[in-house]
Amino acid sequence: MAEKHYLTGKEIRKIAKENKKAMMALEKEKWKKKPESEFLTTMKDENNILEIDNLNTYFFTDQGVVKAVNGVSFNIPLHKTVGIVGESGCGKSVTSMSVMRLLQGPQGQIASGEIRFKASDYKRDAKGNPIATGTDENGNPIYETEEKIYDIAKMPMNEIHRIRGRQISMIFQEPMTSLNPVFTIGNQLDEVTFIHQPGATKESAKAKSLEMLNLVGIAAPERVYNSYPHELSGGMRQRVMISMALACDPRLIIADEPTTALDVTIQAQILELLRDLKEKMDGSIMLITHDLGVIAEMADYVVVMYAGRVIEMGTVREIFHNPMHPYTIGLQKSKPTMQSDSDTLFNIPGNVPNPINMPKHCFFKERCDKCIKKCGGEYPQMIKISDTHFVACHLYEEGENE
Amino acid sequence: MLKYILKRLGLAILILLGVSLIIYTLIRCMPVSFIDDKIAQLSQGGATIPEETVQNMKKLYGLEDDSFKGIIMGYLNWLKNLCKFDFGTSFKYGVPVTQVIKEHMGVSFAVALIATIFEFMIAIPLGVTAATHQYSIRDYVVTILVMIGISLPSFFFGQLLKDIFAMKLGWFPPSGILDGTQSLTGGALLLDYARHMFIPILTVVILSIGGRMRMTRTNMLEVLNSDYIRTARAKGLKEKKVIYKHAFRNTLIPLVTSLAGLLPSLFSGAIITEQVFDLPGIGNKAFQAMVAADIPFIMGYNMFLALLSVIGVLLADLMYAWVDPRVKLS
Repeated sequence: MAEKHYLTGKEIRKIAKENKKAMMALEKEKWKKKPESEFLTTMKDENNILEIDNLNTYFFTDQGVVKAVNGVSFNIPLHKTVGIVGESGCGKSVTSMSVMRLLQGPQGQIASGEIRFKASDYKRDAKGNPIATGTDENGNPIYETEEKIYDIAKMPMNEIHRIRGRQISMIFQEPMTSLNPVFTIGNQLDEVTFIHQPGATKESAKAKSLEMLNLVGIAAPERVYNSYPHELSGGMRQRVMISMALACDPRLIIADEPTTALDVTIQAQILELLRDLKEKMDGSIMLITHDLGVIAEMADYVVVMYAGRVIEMGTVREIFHNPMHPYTIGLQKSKPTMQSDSDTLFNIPGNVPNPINMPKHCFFKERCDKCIKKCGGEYPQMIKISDTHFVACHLYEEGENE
Repeated sequence: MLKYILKRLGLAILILLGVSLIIYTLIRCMPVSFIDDKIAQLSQGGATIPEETVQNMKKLYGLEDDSFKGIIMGYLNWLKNLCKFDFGTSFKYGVPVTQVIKEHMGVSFAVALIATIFEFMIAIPLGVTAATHQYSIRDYVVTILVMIGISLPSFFFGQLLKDIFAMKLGWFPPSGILDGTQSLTGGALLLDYARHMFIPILTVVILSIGGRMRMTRTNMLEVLNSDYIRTARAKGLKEKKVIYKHAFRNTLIPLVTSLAGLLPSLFSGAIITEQVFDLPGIGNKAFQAMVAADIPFIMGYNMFLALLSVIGVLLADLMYAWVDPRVKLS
């Protein structure tokens, strides 16, 4: 079969026309006002804080539809850290962006799937305003919370601020550019309290911000509070980002490669801080990284992604001591070690298939050294190895044992 | 800060000296000469002007020596007078240059100021909408209208508006700045000014919105794609606040800077538009002086603009430091 590299103008226009239709329909759906009942749902397992179920996130480009996340399902249990690993472009960041609904529209859209999240939202009246049930000793109103399960994928965009920052917060990989350069740190930190704490005053917001800066180990909180982002180092900015993420005691923190842009000593400090906070905070962490060392140190569960799909998941012990999928095995092997005398680092041969024309069979087939006849067929199902360990590979199907 | 401003002003004197030298040299290189024009006009009736009179006139205006040395001497002479704050007397208008500028600047300034205010008031919201609704019908409509605005030449578009509103509909007077047939006072006078200035201002606004709107749209798009906007959204801010607080504040940086750069254009007058509507503005006067090779006036007018440009750039830098905390002046 001759491989086609270039599209003609006519083909591009045809694709663009089709995409526009699908894109606009999804975009319209995204902004449509809906009653709360339409995005309320129930959890499959009460111990989970987040359940991602068959999530499909597409990018509509003029070359075709890129299925960046292609049927991903995994759970994040309460008070646990779930690490998501995979190479660049495997869809781990897009998964987290989908959870936050931060995809760049109109090209990026959640096409289907459910993201069930157990939120602890304020009790609200008919207008959607929180109901105060009394005041504390300082005269600040107290708001009662109730547990609600939202399907984030179906939530309209004008309700999404209930989730963002308050329930789920995010730490980005680029601390250097993730803070607004024209506002002081204090201004940006206070904002989080103002948005999510009804009845917050200037003083209470500042007190909270300083407390948060203290919590993340910033030595002179008062000085940092009045600084502009460009006056701080990368590590300091990442600490500020973390304090911003923690400001409203979120139930889930998504850390999208929080240490990638930092140098090694600062990396260690930030990881130390995150691990420390994990003990203190009442929530879960979704840790996205391509650094297996970070995963081994931080995570309880690991999800391995490849080309937009989950190919293996399990506890950190299972993934590191008993990797099953040939890709996970390759990933483990390509980690540099001190013991090895070899001059070259192991790498998995070949390339990820073109995301626009994904094959029908296993996406890893061309690069896999353990291929069997069945690999040319359907994409493999998730196979249960233990209660927590799952792998998507034909090698482990019944009757296929070597 | 004060030290910085003083340093910049000191530098400005050097820049202005350079500018004046270049302008003077260029004017003296022009193929037209005020005297030749005048002689030609005088001899049109068939009269012959004796060579002696011509030489006397040249001497009177200081143009007798066309050699390199003569030009340099002329420049030094002009500079000497400038030190005494004397810009000389306009050849064409026969009154001091400063007086011509003073008398005609008001009209141009009024037109330019009102037009600029409207330009910003219309272009910025349009640019923001076009950026926040990128590739939507709204974006395309705004962009197409604005491109039409950019592409139309002012002499054509001005003439067109004049034809429609003044000639066909008769809503506004076609030219001039005041109705000479009546003597008006107070509110009626102001109203008459407004009626005369309406179409010129409309022309300038429509033609200049395009550039400003494109600039706002581009900046806004760039800012909207930046990481800190994602952070602002992730914090749970509502989209309105994300755009009008976090994004707009950053989009303002280049806009405020360009505002200071507009300083010279506020005073320079719209040369072509003023011609079309026969407004007695400074642009109109400058054009006529240019055609007549009126050396003192061209020098005075251009030096005035050069000074405003230098101040404008300085103001832009100061404003830049004011809106962007990352910029430190030293």
